[in-house]
Amino acid sequence: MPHTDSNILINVLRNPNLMTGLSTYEWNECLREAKIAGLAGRLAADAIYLDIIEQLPLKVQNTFQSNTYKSQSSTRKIKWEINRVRRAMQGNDEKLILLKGGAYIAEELKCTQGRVSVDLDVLVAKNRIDFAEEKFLAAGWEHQVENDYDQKYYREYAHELPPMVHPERYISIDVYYTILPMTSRVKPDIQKMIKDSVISLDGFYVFSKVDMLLHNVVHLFQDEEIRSSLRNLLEQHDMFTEFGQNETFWQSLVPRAVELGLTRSLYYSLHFTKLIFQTDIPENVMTEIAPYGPGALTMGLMNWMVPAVISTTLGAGGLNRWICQNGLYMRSH
Amino acid sequence: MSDEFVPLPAKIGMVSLEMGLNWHVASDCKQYLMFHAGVVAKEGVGLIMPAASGSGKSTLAAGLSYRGWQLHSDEFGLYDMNSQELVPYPRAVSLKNESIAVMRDWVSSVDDKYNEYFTEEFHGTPKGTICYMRPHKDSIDKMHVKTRPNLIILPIFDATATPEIRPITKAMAFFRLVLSSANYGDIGKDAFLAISRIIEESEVCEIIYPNLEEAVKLVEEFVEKTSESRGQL
Repeated sequence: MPHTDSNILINVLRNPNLMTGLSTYEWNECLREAKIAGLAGRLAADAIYLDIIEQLPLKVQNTFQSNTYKSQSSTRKIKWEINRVRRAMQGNDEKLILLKGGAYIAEELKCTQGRVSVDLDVLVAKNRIDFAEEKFLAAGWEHQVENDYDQKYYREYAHELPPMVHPERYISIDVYYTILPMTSRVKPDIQKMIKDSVISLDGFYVFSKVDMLLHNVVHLFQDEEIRSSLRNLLEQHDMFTEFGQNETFWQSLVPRAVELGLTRSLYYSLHFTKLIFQTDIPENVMTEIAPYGPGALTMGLMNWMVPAVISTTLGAGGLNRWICQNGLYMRSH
Repeated sequence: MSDEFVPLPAKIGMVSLEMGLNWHVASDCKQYLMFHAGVVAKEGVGLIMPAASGSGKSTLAAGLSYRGWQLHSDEFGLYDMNSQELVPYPRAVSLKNESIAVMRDWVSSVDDKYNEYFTEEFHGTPKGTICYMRPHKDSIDKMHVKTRPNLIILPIFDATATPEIRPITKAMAFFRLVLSSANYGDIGKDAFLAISRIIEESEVCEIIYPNLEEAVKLVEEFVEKTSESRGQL
């Protein structure tokens, strides 16, 4: 693991106790990377959990305090926004599903410790999408994209309504009817995911644990640039660790990925969380997913590229990073 | 950050720098309870003057700092909720429009080298003409000296007014501090407790004044008047 072992942020995330021994130079590097990666609040949460805050330099304590407030206020705002969405959607008789950050907050997952969310994602059945838009607009939300071209793009090619925002609360809401763009090669059966969703905060639903994880995974390895996505990968590590306490999670993981056609993304997630965060994944799960990996050439490329771009300054930038991030960008599209 | 601040033409780049600093402090120093207020201190008096833009609080804070007060900030009052003290942030004072001449005049009457303390004037910025003034040397020397707040004055500038100290209730002062705080809602409960404590420990009033000289007199008068009750805290 030549790329990742020298990365200070990753080392500290793997073992937060290292924070008590960092030099000023190392703190500079670590906090800069953490801030860009949206993980400063996470480090603060780790330090609080381990009760090592008072052993840290005063300026680090200040930064952590600032980030802790930021994260707490963001969580509070998202919970309030969930409440407002509930109210706006009164009369809806089908499942309203919280996705990603909103779901993690509703379920109080470990990965929300120190996390900052700036928007809220929800999913409704495709035949309820116009109903949802009407309801949101009637309740005061406004479209963020006004021009015809962008509106047309969202309505014809995206898998969501054009994003809306409430002018008094500034939290953008994305309303989806499936989890990947219409143009994506992978088309998981969203009906199955909706059917298996479970009741959560305030009458909302969230995907089952396995589907929640798979959604995060497919979002990172199918839909996004992998560049600067350390936070996403860490969420996957957290979910494997948290959900994995229950044996049935591991039993249903790979079969569900097969059922939804998301095996390649899951392969990458298991491989790279283990590689980068040393995630504790049962051997039989690694064996089970092995047949769904790519060929040796692709795997070699991914092993070179992903660690080079997943954090922000890994691999010291330059040509190496440029090739990797553009190569991965093309792969996802 | 509001789009009107970036980009700006290079010749008024100083203004971008100031707005950038403000933005950074506002978004990344949430460990401090932040007041949109002029803050000064002297001999154990920690004075917060919360007010909206245009009330003259910047000019008043800067004015006091050239009459023996330590300048904490002309518009960014920072309060450390752990130590319960005001934290100085004596960066360059941003003077706008009419207040530029007022401050030049004010500083020149106590310091011959006053010209060295003012930058050139930047015309045509989103806030009109701006000039930066170096805080008094003593304020910079004391930038690590914190003070516990114990005086709240709400300043009202009115060119036609008769100078006056007006009593206000502590409840009113509480709400004015809340309104002036940039991150009260983000911090939540700790901010509520901090402002409650500040108000409990402070004497409060409103002053209405027609010019800087009268304002400084009113502040000194209120400090004098409350010296006994503050001493009892």
